[in-house]
Amino acid sequence: MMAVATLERDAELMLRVREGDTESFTLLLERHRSPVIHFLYRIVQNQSVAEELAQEVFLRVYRSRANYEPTAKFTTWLFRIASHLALNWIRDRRHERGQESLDQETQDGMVRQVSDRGVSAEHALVRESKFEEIRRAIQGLPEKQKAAVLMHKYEEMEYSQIAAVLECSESAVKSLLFRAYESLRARLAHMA
Amino acid sequence: MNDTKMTCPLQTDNADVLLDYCARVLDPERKAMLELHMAHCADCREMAEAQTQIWAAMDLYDAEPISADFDRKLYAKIAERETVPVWERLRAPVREYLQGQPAWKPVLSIAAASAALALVFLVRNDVPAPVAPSAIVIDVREVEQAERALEDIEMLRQLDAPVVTDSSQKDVL
Repeated sequence: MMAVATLERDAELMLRVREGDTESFTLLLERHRSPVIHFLYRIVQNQSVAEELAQEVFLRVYRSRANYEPTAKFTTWLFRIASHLALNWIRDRRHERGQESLDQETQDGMVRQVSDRGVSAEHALVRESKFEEIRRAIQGLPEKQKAAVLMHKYEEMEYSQIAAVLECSESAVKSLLFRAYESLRARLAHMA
Repeated sequence: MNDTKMTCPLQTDNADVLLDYCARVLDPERKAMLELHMAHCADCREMAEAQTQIWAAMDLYDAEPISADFDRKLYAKIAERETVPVWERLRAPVREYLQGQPAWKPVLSIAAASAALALVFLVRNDVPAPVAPSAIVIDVREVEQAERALEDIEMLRQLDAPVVTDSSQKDVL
């Protein structure tokens, strides 16, 4: 029910954008800015790159307004653009830098700040260490498995929607997720 | 409906039921059936426990705060793109399409190279064409002049040559 309402709202806004209503684009941006950037950040592991890519995503949405038809769920379309851009960026990066890991990217690009939410420094360090282990485990997954897990876990997408984004069957998505979580359980077993 | 028995999800390629259970999105009826099954299935129970812990641990992987000027930069890009010349805007979708079609890239390169070669041939055929016949004319004239000169020399030689008599012939001999 909620999904239908969301579809109608986003599609309605996009149709208004098509008619030249820029306010509706602002509303769409407000609704989807954070999920898109967070999804991209978890894939590319660099906040400034994630924001650059997210700008390209919304730019493409805006530029496609004239030809927009609400044939699919808006978020499916949005995340398909985001996934393509992110996976292409990773592939290009690999070609440029060989097999240099994204761990280095994080070290080069930014040092993650341990957020102090009223916890002790020791607690924060433990938390940061766990964060790092989870990040590495997720980054170690093959690209499609990673994208599927990020959409499933953090964007709470249904199998059918993930399948539409990744342009594969629903059973393929279930298989991707099963293998991905299996790897994560194995890698992070000591944390359990 | 009243069948509360569930075949083992791990043995029937239905592990997504366990994933949904751990993600807490399984409908109440199936949840109850799965819990009943797990009471007797150690494999499913073990998998569900491990998955639940991983699911919870993954919550630690939070995202970074978004830059305050994200929207400003985006609108600046949009404004910039909207003022791009028409021919650039027309070229961009083609380029984007081709970027997504790796199989076409070599074809495009070959086509571009062929077009360039064809252009070169056309240009080369245009330019040297007038030169070639004149070169041949010059060669023919040179040959004719040389032949004429040789004939003249031969004629002069015959004019200058002494009259041979029978006696002189005898002398030479």
